[in-house]
Amino acid sequence: MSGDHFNKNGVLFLGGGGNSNDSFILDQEFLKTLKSRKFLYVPIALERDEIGYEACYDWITKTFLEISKEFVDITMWLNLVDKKLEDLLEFDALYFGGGNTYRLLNEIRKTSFDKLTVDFIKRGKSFYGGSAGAIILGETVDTAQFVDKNEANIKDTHGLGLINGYSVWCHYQSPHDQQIKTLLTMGDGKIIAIPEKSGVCISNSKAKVLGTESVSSFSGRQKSIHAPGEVFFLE
Amino acid sequence: MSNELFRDEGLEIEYNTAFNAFVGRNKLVRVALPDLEKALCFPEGEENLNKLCKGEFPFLSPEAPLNLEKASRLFDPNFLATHFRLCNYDITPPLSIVNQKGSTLFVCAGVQVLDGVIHREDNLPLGKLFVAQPVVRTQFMDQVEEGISTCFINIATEIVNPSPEAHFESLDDWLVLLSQLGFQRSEFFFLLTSKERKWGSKKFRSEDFRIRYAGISLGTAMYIHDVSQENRPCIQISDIGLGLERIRWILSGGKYLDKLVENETLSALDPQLIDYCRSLALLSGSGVKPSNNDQGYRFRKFSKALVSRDILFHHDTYPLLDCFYDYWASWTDMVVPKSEAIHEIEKENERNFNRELIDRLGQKFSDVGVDINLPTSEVIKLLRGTSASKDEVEKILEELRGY
Repeated sequence: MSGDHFNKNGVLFLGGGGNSNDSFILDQEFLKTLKSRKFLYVPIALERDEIGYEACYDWITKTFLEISKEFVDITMWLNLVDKKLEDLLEFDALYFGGGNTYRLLNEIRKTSFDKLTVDFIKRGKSFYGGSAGAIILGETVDTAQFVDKNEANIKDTHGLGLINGYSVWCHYQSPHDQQIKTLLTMGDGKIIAIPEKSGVCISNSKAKVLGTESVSSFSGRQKSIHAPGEVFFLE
Repeated sequence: MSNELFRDEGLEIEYNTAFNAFVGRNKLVRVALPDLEKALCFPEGEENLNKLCKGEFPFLSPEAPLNLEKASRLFDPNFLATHFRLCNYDITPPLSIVNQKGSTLFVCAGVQVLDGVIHREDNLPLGKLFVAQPVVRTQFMDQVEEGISTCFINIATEIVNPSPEAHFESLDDWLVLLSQLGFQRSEFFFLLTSKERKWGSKKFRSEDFRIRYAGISLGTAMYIHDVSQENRPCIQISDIGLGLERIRWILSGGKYLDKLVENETLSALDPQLIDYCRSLALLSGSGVKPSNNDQGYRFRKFSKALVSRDILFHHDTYPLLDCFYDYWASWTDMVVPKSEAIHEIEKENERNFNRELIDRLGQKFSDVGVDINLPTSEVIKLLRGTSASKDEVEKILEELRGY
C-alpha cells in the first residue's frame, strides 16, 4: 500500500480499566471518531460462557447507547478464526475489552488477528482498548504480570508495539511506582500508566488525557505527570 | 475425573463416585486428547477420536440417523414434554425472552428459569424441571450459517441441589431420549471440562460434559456447584441443555430449518436472511419494540441486518415472518398478535431501508437529511425538494430493491 492515507495510523483510545462511568469522557471522544457509527467489539480477554458473553454485549451496548442519541451499530465477535482484513474494514473502529491480557494476546496470535489489528490501525482506523485491550498495544505486556495470571503460558510477551516504544500500565495508582521502576530497570523501556478513572487518546504520538485523574509517563528514571485534558508527546 | 476445585471435599468425592458409575454403566472409555481436554466416548466410537482430533470429522457420517419422521416429531412440544414427564420431570412453561430481572437483557439459556433462585434467593424448586426455552444469543450474529442461529429452542432439564448421582441419572434420561430418536452410541463424544463461570454478580464452578454427536455440538450437561447465596447455604444445580434445532438438523440430514414456506425450501435461501426473520418474529411477538436502547436495540440491529441481506437477495420476507411467528407461537406465549407483530417489523424494516437510501444519497448530496421514520413513499417525495435528482434517487432505489 502506498500514499499518506495508509501510512497514517488511526486514533488509539486506551482505557485505564475502570467502569463505564470512569471511561465516560474517553467513550464520548471515541464515538466522535466513528464516521458511520459502527464498531466491532471483541470481549475475548474475558473467559465467559454463553450467558456471560451475552451480558458483555448488553454491557457494551448500554455503555455507548447511553451517551449517544443516535443508533450506534455494535457488532460482537467471539470467534476470530479465518477473519480477513476486508471483514474488519467494514467497521470504523475496533474495541478490545478488558480481562486477562495473556489470554487475549494468546487468542489473537493463534488466529493471526494480531496482524489484522495492526493492519486495521495502519489503514487509519480507530482502536479502543480497555485495560487488557490497551495493554496489548504496548511494546510488551509485562506490565500485566502484577495483576493477570499468565495461564496461557505465553513466553513471548511482546505486544503489538503501536505506541512509540511505550508499554501500557492500567489500573494505575501511585503506589505502583516501585513496581514500574523495577520493571524499567530490567530494560530500557517506557511506560504510560493510566488510572481507572482516566484514559488516553493517541494520535500520531500525541497523547491527550481524557478523564478525571492524571496519567503518568515513565521514561528511564523520569516520571512525568499529565493532568486531565493535557496533551503530551510520547517520545 | 479428579477435581481440586470443589469447596466441599465430601461433594467432590460424591461427584467422582457418581461420574465413575456413569462411565461404568454406559461402558464409556476415557481418552486423553491433546488440545481437546479430556474426552469420553463409547467403545465402538474410539477410532473416530482421531478424526475429531484432526478436525476431519465429516458432517453427518454414514451412521448418522437420518430420520425425517422423527425430526418432524420435534416440531411438537408435546413429544418432548411426554418423554420428560414419564421420567418424572415437572414441565415448566418457558420464560418470556424479555428478561426483566435476570443477568442478561434476553433469556439466553434454559437454566435462566432458575435466575430467581440463583440471584434473588427465591424458593428452591423441589422436583426436576424440564423447559423448552426460546433463547436469543446475539453473540452468534456474525456466525449465522446452516446450523448456527441467533434464536433457538434450548431444551433443558434443571435440578436444584441434586446429588451428583441424580445429575448423572438426568444425563441418562437424555441419552435414552436421543437413542429413541435414533442417535447411535458410536457417534457420541463427551468433552470434559471444569470451568469457572460468572453470571451477573455470581461466580461459581461447573463440571461440564460437552455433548457432541458426529462432530457436532448438541449441548452441555453441567454440574454447577458452590453457587453462593446470602441467606442460605451454597446451592448446586444440574443443568443439561441441548439445542432443539441442532437435534432436528442432524435427524433431517443437514437441513436446519427444514420446513416449507409457500412451497419454498428454506435451506435454499440465504441462512442469514432466514435467521434474522426468525429472530425478529420472536422479538416482535414477545412485545419488544424497536428503539436505540436495551432489548429494542437488538430489534433495530436485527432489522438493519435483515434489510442489508434483503438488499442483496431481494426476497419477500412476509411469508417467512408469518411462518416463524407460528413456529415460536407453538413454543411460547406470543403477547403481540401476528398481524401487529409483523407490521412492527415491516415498519422498522422500512425505516432501515430509508436509512440505507439516505446514506447512499448522502455520499453525493449534503442536503438529503430527511426523516427516515416516514413511509418510503413520503421520503421519496421529500427528496424531490433536495439537490438529489429524480434519476439519482430512482437509480439508488433500483439498486436497493433490485428492480
